[in-house]
Amino acid sequence: MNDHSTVDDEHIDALLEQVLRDAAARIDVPSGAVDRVLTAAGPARHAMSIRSQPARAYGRPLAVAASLAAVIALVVGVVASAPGSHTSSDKASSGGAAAPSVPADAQRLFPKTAEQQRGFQVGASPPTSSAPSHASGGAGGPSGGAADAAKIVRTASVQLEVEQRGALRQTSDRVRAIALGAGGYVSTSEVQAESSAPSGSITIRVPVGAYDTVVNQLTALKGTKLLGSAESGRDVTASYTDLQAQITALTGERDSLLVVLSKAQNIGDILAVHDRLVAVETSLDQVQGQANLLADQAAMSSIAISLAEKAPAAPAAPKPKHHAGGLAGAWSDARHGFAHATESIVAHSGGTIVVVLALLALVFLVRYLYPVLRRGLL
Amino acid sequence: MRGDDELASWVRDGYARAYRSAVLICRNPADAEEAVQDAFLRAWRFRDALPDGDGREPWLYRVLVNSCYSKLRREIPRRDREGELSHAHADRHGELDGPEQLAEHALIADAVADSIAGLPDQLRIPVVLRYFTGLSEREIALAIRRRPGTVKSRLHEARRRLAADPSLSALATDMGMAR
Repeated sequence: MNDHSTVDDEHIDALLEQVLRDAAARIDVPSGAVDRVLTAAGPARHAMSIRSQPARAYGRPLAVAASLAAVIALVVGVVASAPGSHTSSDKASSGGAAAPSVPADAQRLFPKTAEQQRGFQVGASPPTSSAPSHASGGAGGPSGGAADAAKIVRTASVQLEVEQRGALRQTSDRVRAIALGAGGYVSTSEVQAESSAPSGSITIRVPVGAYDTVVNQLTALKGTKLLGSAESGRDVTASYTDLQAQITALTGERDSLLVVLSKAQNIGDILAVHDRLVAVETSLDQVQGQANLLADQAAMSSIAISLAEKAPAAPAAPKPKHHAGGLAGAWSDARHGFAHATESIVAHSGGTIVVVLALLALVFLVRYLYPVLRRGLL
Repeated sequence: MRGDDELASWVRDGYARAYRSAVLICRNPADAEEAVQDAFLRAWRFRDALPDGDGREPWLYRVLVNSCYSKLRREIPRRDREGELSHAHADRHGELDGPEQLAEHALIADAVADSIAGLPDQLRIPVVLRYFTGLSEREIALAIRRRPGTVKSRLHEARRRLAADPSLSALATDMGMAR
């Protein structure tokens, strides 16, 4: 129903331009609005650049700046006292060489800016980022073919039965060795070798290049029987490319803001630019994290292996009694039902029912049996 | 932008178009005025970081779209916006000259109100920026922080929906643009 049966494609553009132009023409521009903008601009109208504007133009009271500086100083103190803080700052200073210069005041006020800048340049990839597709860190943007290559997230699950009793641990070690041998690692492992029904589940992550080899090795693992397997592949190339484009755009905006920040000379200017910078870097962090996750999933395939020992030959179980039919069966069912009901009543009532029954028996004895015995004795 | 009067001339030259774009995006005149003022001031504040030449326009509209987005999401429910915009249009009808002109403009106003207001934000904003503001797809991409391909697909989807809109079809027939 949504086809173009009523309006020609070539006319839609002209029609939209026409109707929007007419609609906009009927929108009154508020009188004095331009003057209000110029009034709001205030001293900025005469300023040549942001660095010469008074701090008041940004509406940043001195008290807010002082409070913010105090909080940041506190954070700096905490970070400086944390283990490894020297390493981070060293890397920050070396990694920030290619970025727009940030004034010393700004770096003192906003150390996180330099920290995040380092993160964008070297990438925030997890340790597994040694895989080829993870090497696309630089400046947060796509780098050459790595970003353009197809990103396929491959996952598999394999169910294996360990044929020999007591060999579950040994088999799990073999799985671990296969993962390590392929350049991967064990993501999660849970093996219950000592239980009555030994079983385990292991998830390994292996480089996507070794995926097929590892799956073949697992399905042909010595001493096991393949019970089942499943594989899936999800193309995330479009999502990854979109994220990279967002990273590029955000990085460009961040760099522009850093340029502006480098020219700011008073606390008001720095705070004003920093507000926007923080928002951009937060967005950049989020997008970068999503891109890293996709890249990691595509670079390292995940394989879940379920292990279970073959159940031992069950001892000759007592042959169940033949269930009698007819009246005999009904009588048997009634007896079992009565027994179960009695057990249930006793269990739920605790000792109360036993006491009550004992008292009833005593009453019966006193009331009926004692007179009989007494007559007999007399 | 250099010199004392640059801001004044920039605002005077671009205010009307920016304001009307903002009204079409925000669907609320008061919000639009605030958004436009905020956009000009921010763009002026960071003018040293603005790219020269054509880049200034997408930058302004990027800030404008951001301001409109924040108002669309946080401040006034959509139903109130639609009512206010329709009311603003209705107020203008009385200033038109003849009954035929009034009817024609009312038809266009209804068509635009129904068609544009009916589009979701992610489609309406590119439509306004493309067909009213006159930005190219690349400039729109910069303004809304999406890839040009995304802008193209959104415009295509918007055109597809609008082409099937009965009021727009009636308008097209009236203007001799229908098949």
